[in-house]
Amino acid sequence: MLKITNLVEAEARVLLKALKHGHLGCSFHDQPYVVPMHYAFDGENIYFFTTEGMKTEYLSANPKVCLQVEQVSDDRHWRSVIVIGEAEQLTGAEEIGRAAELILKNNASLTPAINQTIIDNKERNGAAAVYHIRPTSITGRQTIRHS
Amino acid sequence: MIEIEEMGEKEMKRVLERVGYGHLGVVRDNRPYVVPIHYNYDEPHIYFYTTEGMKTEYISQNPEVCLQVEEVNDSKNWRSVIAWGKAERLTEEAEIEKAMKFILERNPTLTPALNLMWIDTWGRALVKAVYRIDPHIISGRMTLPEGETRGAPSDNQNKSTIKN
Repeated sequence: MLKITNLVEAEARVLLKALKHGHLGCSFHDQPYVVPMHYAFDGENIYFFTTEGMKTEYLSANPKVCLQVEQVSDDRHWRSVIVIGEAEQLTGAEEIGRAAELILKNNASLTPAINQTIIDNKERNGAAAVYHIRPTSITGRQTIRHS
Repeated sequence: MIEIEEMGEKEMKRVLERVGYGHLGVVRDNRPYVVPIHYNYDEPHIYFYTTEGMKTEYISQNPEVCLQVEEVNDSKNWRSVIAWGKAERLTEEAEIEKAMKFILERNPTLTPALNLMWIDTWGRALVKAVYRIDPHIISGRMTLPEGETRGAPSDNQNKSTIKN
């Protein structure tokens, strides 16, 4: 029998820190939108960047977001974390730099692409945006081994 | 270079058929919520079930959903498909049976666990609702293998490129 139990918040935070790829849900005029996303979690805030106009448009209209991340071994062994919060676009050069560094540290293979995107963004003024999410809730669920 | 390209309709449908697992976005009072789900794609419909009260509450208030499905090999090699539509709750016993059969067939490793649930009366009670989505938009993006480009730049108006 497949049993599912809640993760305590401390466990959910550990998992959120260990992973680097999630699914960001946002809402625009009551229409949901879900996109895959690379992120970093520093224990307090979640950082992500986007190059896509649609997301920045959605997020400026409604900053409420839901980030779902998961670690799936197979259909019967998985853990999933859901973060609720508001996304805020970072504007200061220093905070953008710090956030970019965290995202790159967590997603080493993306480094060249993101570096260039952020450099391009400075040159082109607005093609990419860096956000942070301040979580208002972090919850999680996991399967437990059947006895 | 990581090049990202819009996917063609056939390719997107193949991904939906192949994967059977995705991330469902729902919205209530402008608050989004994302949950992982198993589904079955029986073109043009997507079927899924839920064992949870929260999703049924959201969907009964606002049936607009967004299903995101991905195949990720690594951060430079992935495909992602997004389908939008209204989730319609199935009410006829025959429809529910057929949809659950489809979903269970699609997810063979889930089958032992769910079959146990599904054959038990109490297990059936755990499955709160079965839904069908008739997507009105499907959109997909994929990375191209490194060093590969498709067609001349002028043929690729939809392509967004992240320079490396």
